[in-house]
Amino acid sequence: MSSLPEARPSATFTRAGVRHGMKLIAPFCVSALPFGVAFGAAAVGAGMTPAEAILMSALAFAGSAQFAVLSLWTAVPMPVAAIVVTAFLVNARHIVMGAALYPHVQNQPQRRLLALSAGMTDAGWAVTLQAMLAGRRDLGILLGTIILQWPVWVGGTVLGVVVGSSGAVDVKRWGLDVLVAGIFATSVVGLSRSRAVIWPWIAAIAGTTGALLWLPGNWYILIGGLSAGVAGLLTDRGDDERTA
Amino acid sequence: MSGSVLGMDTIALTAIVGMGIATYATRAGGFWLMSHVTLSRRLERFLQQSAGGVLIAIVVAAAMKGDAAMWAGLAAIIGVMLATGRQMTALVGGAAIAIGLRHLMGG
Repeated sequence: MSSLPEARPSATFTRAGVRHGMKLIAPFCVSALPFGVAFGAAAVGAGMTPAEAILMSALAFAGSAQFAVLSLWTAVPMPVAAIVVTAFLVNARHIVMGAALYPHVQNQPQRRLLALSAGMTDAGWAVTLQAMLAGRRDLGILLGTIILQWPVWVGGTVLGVVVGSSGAVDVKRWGLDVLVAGIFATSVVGLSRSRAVIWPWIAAIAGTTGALLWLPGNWYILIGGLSAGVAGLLTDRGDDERTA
Repeated sequence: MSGSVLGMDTIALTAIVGMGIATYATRAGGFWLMSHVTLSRRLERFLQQSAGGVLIAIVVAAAMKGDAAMWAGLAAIIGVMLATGRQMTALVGGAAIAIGLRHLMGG
């Protein structure tokens, strides 16, 4: 087997893999729970009904996108298109992540891949890919991460909604707005290790500031995102390091 | 249009289902694309950078609309994150500073 390093061994899909995935993702769940609670409380604080917040966690299962649309939620009329496009852009990284994982699991039935991808989170993807690179090619690992993460995220949201609805939580007094903005700020810091982000980020800051000053509504999120994307294309020299 | 389904506003329900579909499209999209074509490097770069741009937009907007407690909290979060790389520590510390400041300012 080791005499053919180029040939990719087939990935399996086993119960042992599922258990391994659950074990790998457990530490992430410990930190995901407070985020779920924070989302539930912040969502109610932002004017979502408890049912809306819980349904969003169950269906979208996408922390950063869910926090991102909170500021759009109370606009009247509700900017449905902006909410959907924002969710797409915030999650667009998943396209790249799925593409990176695909070569390791391409022998698996496509139907299974498309079903499991529905629950692929950043952390779930990362531990799955790491395990594959370390030689444990088992798609069950991805399923294991979902089995543990989804209930934690939805359960955390329910808890947060209960706390938030009790009227005990004043979003500003409890610093939830700072916490939410901070979640995005820490993600930005995480991305800042690549030099390739300088021009896209300058473009994003300029585009966002301009949109906030001169455009009504919530166009700033889309304009910030698209400015960065276009700047990324314009400054693409073809050989820069990748942001991972 | 302002009906309701199971006690939920139809417009809100549409937005939530739309988000779910958009999110699923990104999660399944990479697997699907790779089984049909190779993801072009330029598209990959555009997607990566626009995702970063969305994060920046949210932070910039929060700072521009925010009070002094928001600025201090965000500065602390970014500082701690840069220094230690510990997200939880950064968030808890920053939020605590903002809570403290708002308490002092009588907010």
